[in-house]
Amino acid sequence: MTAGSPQVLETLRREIGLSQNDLYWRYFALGGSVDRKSVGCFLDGQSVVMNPAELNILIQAVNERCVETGLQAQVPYASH
Amino acid sequence: MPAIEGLPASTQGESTRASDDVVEERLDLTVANREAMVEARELRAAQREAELDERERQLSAEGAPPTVASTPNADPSDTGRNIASSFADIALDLFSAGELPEVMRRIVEVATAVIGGCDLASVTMLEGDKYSTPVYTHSNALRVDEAQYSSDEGPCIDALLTMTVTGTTPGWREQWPNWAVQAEEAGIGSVLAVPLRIPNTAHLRLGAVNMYSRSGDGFTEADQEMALILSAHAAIAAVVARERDEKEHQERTFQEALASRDVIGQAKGMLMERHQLTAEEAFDALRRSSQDLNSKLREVARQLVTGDESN
Repeated sequence: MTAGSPQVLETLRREIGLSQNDLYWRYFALGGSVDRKSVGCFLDGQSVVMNPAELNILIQAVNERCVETGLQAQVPYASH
Repeated sequence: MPAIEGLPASTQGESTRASDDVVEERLDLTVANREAMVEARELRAAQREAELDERERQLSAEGAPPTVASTPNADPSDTGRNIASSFADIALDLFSAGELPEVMRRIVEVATAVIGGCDLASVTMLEGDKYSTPVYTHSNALRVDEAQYSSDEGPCIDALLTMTVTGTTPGWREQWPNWAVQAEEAGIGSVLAVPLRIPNTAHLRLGAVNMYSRSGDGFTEADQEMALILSAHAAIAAVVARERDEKEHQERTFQEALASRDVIGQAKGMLMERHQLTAEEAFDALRRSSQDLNSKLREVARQLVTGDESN
């Protein structure tokens, strides 16, 4: 399981109380370009690949929410 | 009689007689005039009355509501009219863009007003697996509702789970023994709970309208039927209000997201132009600044774009 893997992001998403829809809108607000259905499929571990740039935007959305909730955990960013 | 100045002296005697006649004639005319004036005034008053009568007839023909004199002993049919009027008011609430709590408040007010046995009323809502009472007419209604939630039994919970009217049988104390103790302490003699549901839709188990009576036989069959009509109104209100809230929330989220994308895009463009970066590198630069400053990326982008670093 890698740092930016769907399993890590999905587990943390549940922990910080974000729905997949909420997370998508945060990702979209940060400039993400992948559509909502594909993001959902990626988080569910289905065969959708996100490139590192898009993945980092998704990770940023999760990490900002972690800060909001006071959670110390931060997902490491993917390297380009 | 003394001579009248200006008249020939030779005619003075005749003139005196003639003058008396003239005075009498003038007096007659004055009296006649007054009588004519009175007659004219009476005629005008009669004409005004006729005009008013005609105007009333016209209004009546146009469908204007007739004026009904109030009487101390109201007609029994007035009750029916009041109920219909109350339900018409609720229907209007549905279309007046009222928020859910306000519509629900109206529902419980009407419940106590039109359902004979209902002394206290409340609405139980179900969000996920959590019950709540957003509106109630009296604190005791809230108290007995919360007693249901904590004891996990009672008429409104059953109404929600079974989607049927509950609490109508006299044996409600045996049905919910733990809750019944607390209900009786709060002075509840009988209870009626009707589910909020719209048949053949996905909107199931929205909540329930709870009606409490201080009397042991508080609710008649007619009350139950009335409660069902009321709950149908409340269910529609809940669905309409929820959908409206959801739409407004989605629209607001979308607009905020667009604004955020816009400012982040501008900031990335500035970094790309100033430092010869790719789009990915520009985003990484913003992300690192965001971490270093312990600030949201959107805020870092806004500061870069506006040159405002005061916050």
